[in-house]
Amino acid sequence: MAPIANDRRAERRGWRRFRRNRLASLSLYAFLGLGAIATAALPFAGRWYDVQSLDSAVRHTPSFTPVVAFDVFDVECEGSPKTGVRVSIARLFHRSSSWLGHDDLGRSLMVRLLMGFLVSIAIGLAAAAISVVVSVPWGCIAALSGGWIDTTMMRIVDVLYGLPYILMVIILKIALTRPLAALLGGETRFAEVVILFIAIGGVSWLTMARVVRGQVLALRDQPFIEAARAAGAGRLRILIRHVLPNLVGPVTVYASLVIPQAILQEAFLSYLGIGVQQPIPSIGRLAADGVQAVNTFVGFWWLLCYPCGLLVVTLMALNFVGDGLRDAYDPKSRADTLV
Amino acid sequence: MALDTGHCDHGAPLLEVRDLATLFRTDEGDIRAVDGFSLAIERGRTVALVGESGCGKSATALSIMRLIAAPGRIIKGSIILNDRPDTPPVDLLRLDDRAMREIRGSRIAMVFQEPMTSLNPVFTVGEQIAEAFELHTELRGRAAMQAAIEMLVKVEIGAPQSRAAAYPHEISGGMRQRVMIAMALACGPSLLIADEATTALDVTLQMQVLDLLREVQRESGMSVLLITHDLGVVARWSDYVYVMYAGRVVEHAPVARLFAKPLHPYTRGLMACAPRLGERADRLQAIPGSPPDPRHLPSGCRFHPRCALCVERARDRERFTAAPEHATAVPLLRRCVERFPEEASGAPELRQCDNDHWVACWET
Amino acid sequence: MIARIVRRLVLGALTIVCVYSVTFLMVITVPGNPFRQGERNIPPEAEAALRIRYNMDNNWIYFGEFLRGAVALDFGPSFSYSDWTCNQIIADALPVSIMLGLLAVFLGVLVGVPVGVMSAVRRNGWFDVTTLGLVLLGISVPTFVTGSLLLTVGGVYLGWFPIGGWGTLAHLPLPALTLSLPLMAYIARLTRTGMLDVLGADFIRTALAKGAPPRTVVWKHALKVAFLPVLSYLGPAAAQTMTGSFVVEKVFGVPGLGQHFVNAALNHDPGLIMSTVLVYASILIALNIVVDVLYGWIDPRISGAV
Repeated sequence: MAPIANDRRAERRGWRRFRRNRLASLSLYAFLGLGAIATAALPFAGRWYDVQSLDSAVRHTPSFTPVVAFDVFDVECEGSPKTGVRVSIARLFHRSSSWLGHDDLGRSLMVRLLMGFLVSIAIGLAAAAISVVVSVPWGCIAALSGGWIDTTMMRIVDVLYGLPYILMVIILKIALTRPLAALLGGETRFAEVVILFIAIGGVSWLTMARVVRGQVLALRDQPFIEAARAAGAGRLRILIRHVLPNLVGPVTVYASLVIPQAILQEAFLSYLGIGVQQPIPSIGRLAADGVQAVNTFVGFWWLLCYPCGLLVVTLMALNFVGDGLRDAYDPKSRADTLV
Repeated sequence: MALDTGHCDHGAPLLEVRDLATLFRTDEGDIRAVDGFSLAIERGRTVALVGESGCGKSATALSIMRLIAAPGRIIKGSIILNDRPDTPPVDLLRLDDRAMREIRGSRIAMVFQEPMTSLNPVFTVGEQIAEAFELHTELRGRAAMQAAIEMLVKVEIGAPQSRAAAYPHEISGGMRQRVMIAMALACGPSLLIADEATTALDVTLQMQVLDLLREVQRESGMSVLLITHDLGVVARWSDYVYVMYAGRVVEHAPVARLFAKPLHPYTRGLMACAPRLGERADRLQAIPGSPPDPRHLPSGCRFHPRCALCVERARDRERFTAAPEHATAVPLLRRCVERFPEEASGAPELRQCDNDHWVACWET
Repeated sequence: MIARIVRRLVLGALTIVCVYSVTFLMVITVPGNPFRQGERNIPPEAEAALRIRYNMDNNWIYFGEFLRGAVALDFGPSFSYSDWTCNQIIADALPVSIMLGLLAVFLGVLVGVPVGVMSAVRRNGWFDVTTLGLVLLGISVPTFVTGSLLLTVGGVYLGWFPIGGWGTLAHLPLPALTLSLPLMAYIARLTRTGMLDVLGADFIRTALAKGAPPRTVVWKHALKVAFLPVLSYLGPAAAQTMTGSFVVEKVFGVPGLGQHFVNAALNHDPGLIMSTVLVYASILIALNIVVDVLYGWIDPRISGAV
């Protein structure tokens, strides 16, 4: 088992190690950069991702002149001042909106990718958040209670593991669609996305629950916990002061690996037609649409290449970051070798 | 003179290490684990290498075996092995990997400290000993296993047949160390390096394992390099002692001589640390402080920040600076503290101060 | 050992019953009507009759009857594929999926393990760095992209393989390769991590001190220990691969079991949902027991433990 130190210094050292990992820090910066651009584009992309132009097929190809006039955005902005930072940023994105071409409905691929990037990241973050929120208490309670409670709780995890993942997602989706849409006041468009959050998060917590339990079990036998117990610290105090701080490392590492997994799973669901629903884009959805589009409209290469490229770059960056975090915070993986 | 005796010069030691230096490159700086180390082991003798943990004993042993792991590198020196009358002496550091492998385990063998983790958990004890035979002799398969069982008999393991089929986790710690010894002795090495071989065992087991090793040594006439921090073991078994501090030998002498008259302040400190039987140990004297950070070695004599002599003189100096007319005594202290141009390494070199008793200290 | 296997079998059976109960609960609570899907619209009287015919008028009876049928390996009719029983559907699709899955797992181990070992041995060398990139690529590129790419290159441009479909040996390589790429990546990564842990161990030094050449030390002494995490991963991974991948099946038009997981859930076909889940869970548990036995065989330390 990895030696566990109960101090802040280890964390800072881990961060230093991460920074020294060039690939991982580069990935992190690339990812943050993409995120910043997409966030800056949100006011524009949020209005434009579904603006269609059904003129002619020729105009779908990537070009340097915007296909759709800026007025469309102008009209949408009616009532608000037409100058200012927001509008200038919007003009900037509008000017580049045809660089990556348009889809079969004439929607700007660039705008849809920027929007889709945010949707995918949201799905990833939500899945990670849900798995942390469910698995940390689950793992802690199981490990600290022991006995039949532990057995039962872990048996439940085993049973849920026994269910095919795709089926769970679909059934969760079907089960939740109507109640959630009712809750959100008939706004089904985003209810779909929220359901995806829950469905993907709902199946991602299992592995992390096992990791958390294992970690807590290992911690429980550490001398400093025993010392705290001997000093008369109560269960809750031990949990909050000694166990939880030591879970931050491994949980962060696993959560960072859940994000790309969730994005990839959403891509699969989109390919099967049960991911985010039209017209909302996600990079997985766009990549899946690209695969179909290339089959139907031969020559629409940009619809395949750019979304797949962005998907792969995003996932690789996130995986590199996750790997870097694990290498930096898990002392086990730094063993020097003889051979 | 060497001409008529053929290759083997019987006057030459079996193993001679000269000016060995091993460097570990780490992100936080270079570690000179072994730095200008020399040692000689005579035929059939037991030479002890003592020092606190972290002083470079194990790095020395691994350097002799050329098993220094990746960030580490042997940067200079020579290790001359002269064990066979029919083959010329070889410098281990100049051998290619293949030739070195033929020496490892057959002419030089090693027993490690941790019997718990030094055996592979997924192979049986017998398989692991038999492998030594398969690597260095003509024995294969069943014959090698038979030889392995004979080795188990030799290290006094009961029911050797069934023990050979056991996995390391199924046998006790003492038994595991016997297996390690059996594995090391399998091919009849001329030199056995025992790196803290008994440290992890409890006292009765320690004695048994030591007795076993001495027995084997008497039968086979091999030499032993005994690495330990336990002076009791040194006194009981060895013929000659090297004392190591921060990667360098600070004193070496025959065992009786060293115990009778330790010269280096560090050796004296070590001796004071060891409780002696029959003496009332009201207070164990420990050497103050801890071994230096190998990345930032002290200038001059590496021991001076912990040296009783030096600390005393430092106190004197304060008095002398108050009275400048007595300042003549100060250079003596400066020699210990500062890098001294007379010595290439900046640290005191070994000087012979008596018949076969060498010490690296300017003050004795 | 035998006692342990029996214990695991009993536990496994219990787990399957739990899996079945959870699935059943989901099936009956999820909104949707198996008799009113798409164009199939039957009169209410006929629906009521069918419900009674298939014990679906009372959930408790349905629960018991379906379970009883399942124990006798009779999963009853499918409601979305008219004229087919679930048994026929599974008997048709499962062999296809198992064949494809086995090939993919085999390929994954065959490539992943040596690559992982070599990148651990030459840690941070060019091979390791290249492999790390390829591994992350293998994990990051969705199979529908690699599949389509392989199909376009191998099927359309080179014309070496048929474009989709099933039935001949020539149909096998492309989907199997697509399915095995992420497996290779994961296995290579697991092997590398395991090897790095093991290569720093004391017993490796012992083996080297014995005079064993690095090749023997790596492939014999180290790999036997480092393979253990790969083995534990292989259980669930093989179960997932062998029960079919919806995506790969869709890309290549392979008539495997994977599509039925999706279609059964989308068409709300309770019989097919529960039978596919049961097949999946049984294969998963069986493979986990196999892995467990193999694990105990390789690593004698855990033979006594659960």
